[in-house]
Amino acid sequence: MEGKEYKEAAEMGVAHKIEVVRKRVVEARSRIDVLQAMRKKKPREIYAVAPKTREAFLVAARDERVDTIIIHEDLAELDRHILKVLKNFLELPLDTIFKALDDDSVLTRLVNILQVVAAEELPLIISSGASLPERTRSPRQLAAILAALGIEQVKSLDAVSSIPGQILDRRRAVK
Amino acid sequence: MSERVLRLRRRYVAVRCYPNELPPEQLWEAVRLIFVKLFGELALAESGLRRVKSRRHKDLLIIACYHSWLPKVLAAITLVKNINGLDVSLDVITVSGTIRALRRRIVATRC
Repeated sequence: MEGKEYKEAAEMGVAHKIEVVRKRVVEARSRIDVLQAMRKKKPREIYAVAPKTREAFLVAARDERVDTIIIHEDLAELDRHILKVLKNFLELPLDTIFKALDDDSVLTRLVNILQVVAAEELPLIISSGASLPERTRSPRQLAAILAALGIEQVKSLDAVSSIPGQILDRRRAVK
Repeated sequence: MSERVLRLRRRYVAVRCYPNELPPEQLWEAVRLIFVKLFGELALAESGLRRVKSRRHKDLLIIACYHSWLPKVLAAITLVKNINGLDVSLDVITVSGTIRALRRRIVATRC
C-alpha cells in the first residue's frame, strides 16, 4: 500500500472507528538485509521479513524488531538451532498455500513446517496477504485452512485473533 | 420398525461468490475439484459433501457435509481462487445445522 492509499485507508478507518496499521514486507537474502531494514524501521511500524537464506532466517528469528517471519516456498528448514533463537511470530500467507497446491514439493515442505509448529507450539498467524478484493478471505475461513492442515482448532482460531492482537499490542507498547 | 443405528450430524454452508458473475453449478464444481485434490475421492464420499439446490437463493451455493468435515470443507471453499480464468473469492455467509435455520440466517444477513 503506497503512502497516499494508506492515508486514505487510515482516514476511512477513523470514520468507522477502526485502526488501520500498515505492514511492510522485506525480502532478505543476508543478515545485512535484515539489519539494514530494521535500522530504517519506525518504532510502531509492523515489519514482516521473508528470509531467502538460512543466515537471514536466523537473524530475523532473534531480532525483536522483526514482527513476523513469512513462511514461503524457499524457507530454510525449521531445525533445532533456529528454534532455539526464535523469538518472533511466524506468518503463513495464503499465497504460499496456493503455491503449495500447484507444487507437491512445496506442499510437503509446508506440511513439514506446520508439523514442527504444532509440535513445538510456535506462535503462528495466517494472513491473506492480499492487495485485491478477489484475494481476500475472511478470518474464519483462513483459520479453517490451518485446521485442515493439522493445527488444533483453538490454535488456528488464535492465529487470526489473539496472536495478531499481541503483535499490535507489542508495537503499541513501544515508546 | 427399523431404527437408525448411526445418526451423523450435518452442516449446511451458504457460499457467495465475489465478483457475483458465476452460476452456483460452476462454483460447486470448483469446490468439489479442490476438495478431491486436497483430501481424495474417499474423503469426498466419507464427508457426505453434496450440493443442495435452492429455488429461493439461486445466486448462492449451498453445500451440505457431515459436521466433523466442516473445517476441511471450509478450507476447500477458501482455496478456490480461479474459475474459468476469472479470479474469484468464495465467501462463506453462514453455517447451520438445518436447512431451515440456514435460510433464516441468509435472509437475516441480507436485511
